[in-house]
Amino acid sequence: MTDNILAIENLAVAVIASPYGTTVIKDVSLSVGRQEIVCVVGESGSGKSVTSFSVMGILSPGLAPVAGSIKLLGEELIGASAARMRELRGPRMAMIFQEPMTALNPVMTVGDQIAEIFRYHKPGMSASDIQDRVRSLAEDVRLPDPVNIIRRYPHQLSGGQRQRIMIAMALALEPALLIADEPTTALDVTTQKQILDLIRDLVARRGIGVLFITHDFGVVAEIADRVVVMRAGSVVESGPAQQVLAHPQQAYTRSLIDAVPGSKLPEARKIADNVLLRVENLSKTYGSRGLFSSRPTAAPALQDASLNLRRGEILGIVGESGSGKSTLARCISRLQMPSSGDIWLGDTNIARMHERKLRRHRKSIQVVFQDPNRSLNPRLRIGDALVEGARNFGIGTREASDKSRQLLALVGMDDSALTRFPHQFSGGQRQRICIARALASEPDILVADEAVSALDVSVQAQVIELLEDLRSRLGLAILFITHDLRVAGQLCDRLVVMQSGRIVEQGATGDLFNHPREPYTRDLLAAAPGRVFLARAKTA
Amino acid sequence: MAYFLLRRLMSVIPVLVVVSIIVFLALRLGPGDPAAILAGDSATPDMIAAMRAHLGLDQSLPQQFIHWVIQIAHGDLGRSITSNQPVTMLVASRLEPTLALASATIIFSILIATPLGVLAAWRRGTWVDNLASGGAVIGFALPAFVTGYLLVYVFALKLQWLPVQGFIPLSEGFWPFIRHLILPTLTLSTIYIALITRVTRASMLEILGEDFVRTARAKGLPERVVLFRHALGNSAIPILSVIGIGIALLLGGVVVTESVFSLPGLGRLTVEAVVARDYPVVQGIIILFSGVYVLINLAVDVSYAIFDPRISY
Repeated sequence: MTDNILAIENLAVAVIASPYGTTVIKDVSLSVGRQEIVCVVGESGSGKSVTSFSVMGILSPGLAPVAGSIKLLGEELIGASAARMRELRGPRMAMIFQEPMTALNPVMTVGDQIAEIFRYHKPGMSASDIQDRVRSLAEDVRLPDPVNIIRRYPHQLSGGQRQRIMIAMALALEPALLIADEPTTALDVTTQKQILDLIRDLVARRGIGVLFITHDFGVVAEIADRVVVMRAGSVVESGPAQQVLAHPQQAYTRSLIDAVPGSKLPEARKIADNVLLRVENLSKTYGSRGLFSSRPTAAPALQDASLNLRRGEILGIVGESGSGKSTLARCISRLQMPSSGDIWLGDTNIARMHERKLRRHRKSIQVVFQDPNRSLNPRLRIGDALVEGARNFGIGTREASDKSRQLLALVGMDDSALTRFPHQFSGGQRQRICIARALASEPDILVADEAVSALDVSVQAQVIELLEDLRSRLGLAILFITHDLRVAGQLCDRLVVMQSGRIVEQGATGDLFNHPREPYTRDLLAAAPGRVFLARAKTA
Repeated sequence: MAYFLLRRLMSVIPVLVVVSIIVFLALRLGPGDPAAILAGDSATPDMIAAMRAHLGLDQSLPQQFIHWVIQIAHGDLGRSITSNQPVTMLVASRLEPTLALASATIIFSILIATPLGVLAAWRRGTWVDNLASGGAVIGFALPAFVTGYLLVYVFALKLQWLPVQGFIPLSEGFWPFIRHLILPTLTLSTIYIALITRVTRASMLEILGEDFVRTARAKGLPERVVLFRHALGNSAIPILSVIGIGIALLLGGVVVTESVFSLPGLGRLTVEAVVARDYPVVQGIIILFSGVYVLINLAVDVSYAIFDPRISY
C-alpha cells in the first residue's frame, strides 16, 4: 500500500512511568490515503486523541508508544529522533485542535504565528516573501480582509476565524497529512458547517489526507470517506463511511449513531396552560460607564425578549454564541439585572427587585451550568455541596443529610456519592450532581444553560433522559439553553430561536423543524451535521 | 492609556502626603534629640535649648510639619542638621553608587534567574530542577552580610581577584568601576535570583501545560523557540510583578550591602542620618524612595500592556 499517506499498525501506547505498564491504547491499526478523510470516532477516553498525538510525536510526558508502527509516507515514526520529528511536523504532517482560543498563543498576532513556521522551516525565505505567503494562506482559508486580520491577536477574532487561522497554520508548508482533533466541537453549527466545507474543499484541491477525530456521528456523516470506531483504547470497527453508518456491525457503533441527537422529534404533548413565568420586553445592555468616559456603550446583548413558560414545559432557547441566549438565561435567573423589561414569577415582578427581597424568590429558579467540572467546588464533599444552599436557608444537619440522600436518588445515584469529592466522578455523574444540587431548593423552574454541551453524545443522551424524567415526575418547568438545534429538537416542547440579541422565531418544536418561517432558522437547521443522513435513516 | 498614565501619576501626590506624615511623626516620636547630639556631650541645657531654637525644633509639631511641607512644595528638601548642606545636594552626591548597584543587581538577577527558571520548569523533576530549586532556597536563607563577607573572603582576600570594598565612579574608568561593583552586586543578587527563579519556574510550569505550547510543538518549532518565545512570553506577567516588588525591596537591601562594602551610597547616607537624628536628610531620602516606588509600580503596570495585548488601560 504505497499510496497510503499514513499507516498505523498494531500501535500500543502505555504509561511508561507506571511499573505496571498500563496500556492506554493497544492494537490500533488504520490508514489514511491521498485525498481521503478518515474519521476516528469514539467517546472521551477511547484513545482517539492519544492515537493522533502519537503520530505527531507530541504525547504528554509519561506516555510513549511501546509496540507497533506508524509510517508517514513510508517513513517509520516510532523511534525517529526528536530532530527528525521536528522536521516532519509542518512540512509533512500538521495538526489542528479542538479549542482554537487556547490553541493559539494569546500574546502573538495570528499572522506572526503563521509566519514563524516559515522562519524556522524555511530559513532562506525573505521577510516580504513570508508576508506574501501568510496573506495568501489567509485568503486560502477564506478569511475576510486578510491583510488586516493577520495583524490581530487571537482574542480579537471570532471562534470560526481562529479555527481558520489554525487551519492556515497547519497548511502553511503543504503537508501531506492533516490531523484534525475535534476541530469543530467548540464551534457554532453554522461555523462548524463552514469549517467542514473548508476542510473538504482543501482535501479536493490539494489532495491531502485527513485524520479527523470526532465523537459526533453527525459530523462523520458529513465528511468521512472511511470510519474507524474506537472504544477503551482499541479499534472496534472500521470501514467505508456509508457502510458503517448504514450497517454498523457492532452494538457500540449502533449506540453511538443512535445517540446523535435529533434522530427523532418528541411527540407533541398536551401541557396545561399554567403559566409559571412570563417574560416581557426584556433588554440588557452591557458596559459600565466610567466616571469620565461618556462613550455610548455597545449594542444591547438582549433586546425586547418576550416569552412564557408553563408548568411541566421544556422550552428550548437556541442560538449561536453571541445571540444573547445566555444573557436571557442569566437575566431570568437574576444572576444579572436586566436593563429594562419585566420578569413575572407568578404575580411578582423580579426584573429589578432588590437583592435582599430577591433571596426568597431565588429558591424557585435554579440554574445548571455548562461545565460540571468547574461548577462544583473541588474541595467540598458531594453531600455538603448538595445541601449548602438549603443550609443557607437554615435547615438542620440531620434533615440536610436526609435531603441529600433523596436528591441523589432523584438523579439516579446512590448514597456512596455523599462522602466523595467531585474529581472522583465522571463528567456525566458530575452533571447529575449539579442537577441534584439545583433541585435542593425544590424549584419550580430549572434553567439549564448549555447543560449537556460539554458531555459525550451517549452521556448527553442520559442527562437529557434524566431531565425529561424530572419534568414528568416533579412537574418541573425547564428552560433549556443550547447552541445545538439537534439536542433542543429532541427534548423541547417549544423552541425560541435567537439571533444577535433578538428572538427571531418561536413555536412548537415540530412546527419549527418542519416549517421554519425565518431564513435564519432554516440556516440553522441546514447547518446541523448529519441532517441528510439522519433524514434518510428516519425514512429507512 | 494617556488618561491612565495621568491618573496614576496623580496618585503620587496622596502617596507622598501619607508617607511624609508617617515619616515625620515616626522620626519625632522616636527617642533621641538632634539638638543634644549636635551640641555635644559637655553642652549645658541652655546651649541645647538655643540649638533647638536655631533648628526650629522648639516649634509645635504641626508648625514644624507645615513649615516642612511648604519647603518641599518649593522643591527644597531643606538642609542637613549635621553638615548644613542642602539635602538635595547630599542625595545627588550619593546617588551614583546606589543607582549603579541597584541597576546592576536587577539586570544581573534577571539575566541569570529567567533562563534558570525556564530550564527548571522545562526539565521538571530532574537534577537541573532540583539544583535550581535547592539553590533558590539557599539564596533565600542567606542574609546579605553573610554572603557578602563570604564572597569577600574568597574572591578578595584569598584569590585577590577583586577589591575588598570601596567605590570608583564611572568617570574614573569603566573597568575599575565594574571591578568594585562585582562583589556587592553578587551579594545583593542572591535573594533576587532566588525569588525570580522560583516565580519563573512556577509560571512556566503552568504555561507549559497550555494548548498553544502543544500547537507550537506541533508546528515543528525548535524547543528553544517554544520555551522562550511562546511559553516565556506568556509567563511574563507574574515575573514582571515580582521584579517590580524586587526593585522596591532593593531600596531597603542596599542599606546592608553598602555598609558591608563601604559604598558611599544612599543606603549608607540613610544609616548615618538616622544615627545622627538628621531629620531633614532621612525625610528627604524616604520621600525620594517612595516617589521612585510609585513610578516603578507604574512602569510595571505599563509593561503588562506591552507584554500582553489583552490588557489595555
